[in-house]
Amino acid sequence: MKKSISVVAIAALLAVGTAFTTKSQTGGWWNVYNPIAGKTPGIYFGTADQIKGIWCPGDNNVICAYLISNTSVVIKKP
Amino acid sequence: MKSYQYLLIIVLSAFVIILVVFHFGDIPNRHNNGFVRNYFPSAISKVQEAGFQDVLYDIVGSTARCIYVTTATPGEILEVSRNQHDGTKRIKIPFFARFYDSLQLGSLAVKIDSPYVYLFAENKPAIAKTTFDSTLFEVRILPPGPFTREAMVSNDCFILRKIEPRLTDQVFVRYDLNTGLLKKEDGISQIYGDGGVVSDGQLHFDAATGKLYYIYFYKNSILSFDTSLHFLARYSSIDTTSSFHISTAIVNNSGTAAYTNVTPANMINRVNDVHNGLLFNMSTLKADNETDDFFSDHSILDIIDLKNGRYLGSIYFPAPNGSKPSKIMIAENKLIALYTHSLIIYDLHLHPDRQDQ
Repeated sequence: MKKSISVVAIAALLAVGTAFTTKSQTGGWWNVYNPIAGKTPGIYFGTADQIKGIWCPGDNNVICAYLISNTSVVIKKP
Repeated sequence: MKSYQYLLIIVLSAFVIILVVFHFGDIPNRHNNGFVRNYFPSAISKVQEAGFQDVLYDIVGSTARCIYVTTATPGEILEVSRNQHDGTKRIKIPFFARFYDSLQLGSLAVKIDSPYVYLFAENKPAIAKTTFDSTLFEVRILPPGPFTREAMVSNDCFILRKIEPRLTDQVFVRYDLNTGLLKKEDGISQIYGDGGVVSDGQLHFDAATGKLYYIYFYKNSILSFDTSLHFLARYSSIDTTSSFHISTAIVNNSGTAAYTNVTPANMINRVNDVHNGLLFNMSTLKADNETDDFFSDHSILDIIDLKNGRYLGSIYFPAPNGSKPSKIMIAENKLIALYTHSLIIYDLHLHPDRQDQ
């Protein structure tokens, strides 16, 4: 019983801690691609595909990916 | 030791671990960045602002009379007069629809050296030259390998940053539109073999010095080389980010393999331009002598002397609604700043020997 309580308590603590950390990071990061008017810029976390999906659209002129299957293609925005 | 004491120790340990991870996490601008800025007093004043419904992409040319801007509408260019009373004219690129479809020009960049319009089909790879009055249309197909950056160094002569398939990376090349000759660099670029993603940056030609400058996005390096592709110097921007703030790797997705970023792409040098031997660079990093509010409410340009790489000082101007320019151009003592839906022109009053300390 005590072990179960300990495990649940630790899990809850880690979940709260993770949420706290993520929230703080979002507020402190500088998002160079999609600054939100009137708000502190934030950054997005995710897998490489998610990051690419979020970061590639927009008006900045950066290379997002270099496709090497079949023919070589550079994906650049816009 | 009693069981609740074990629990207490575990709870405290978890807290400590979370705090350590948070404290030492790589979060830009949460800690001091190790540099300070000095500002030129009264260096900038707004002279003109134009708002648009269009999504503005890029400043692709300028004359003493107007500024050319591309929009999200393919094939359309806005000719924005420098005289506020003359308004803005919409221009359709001649033959655009025809060769856009037939050549399947993806990732198209535009440059205007009036009356000539150059279209850079970066993935084809090809360069098309036309005129506003449709009296000219020439297309040159380049050797295999896309290019991503282009700078015009003289009539019909370009420096490109182009994929070298043998290296799986990009190198600088010089291409002459008239002769079709393409010359590759020797020893300017460092090779990382990821298609040029990690070493991406912006390429500028300064007519006053006759030199080219490449400013990395993800670290503080600046390369200088001449039009014959001879390496001249390596400088650094004001900050202390000497290693890339991005990691790349091959990602496979539905049978497609690509080099892309596998960590957040932390841009260091966001937008920049060179003019009369000076680099105007907007860094994403806050100086140690700036407050969070000042940094988020202003766009700040660091000015670097490209003769020796020395930092001369910085200028700043308001960030309307917190937004910062997606592109800048320095021309004839004016700063042209492009935003998603507006273009603002500032007068520059620079005296490099005077700064706020």
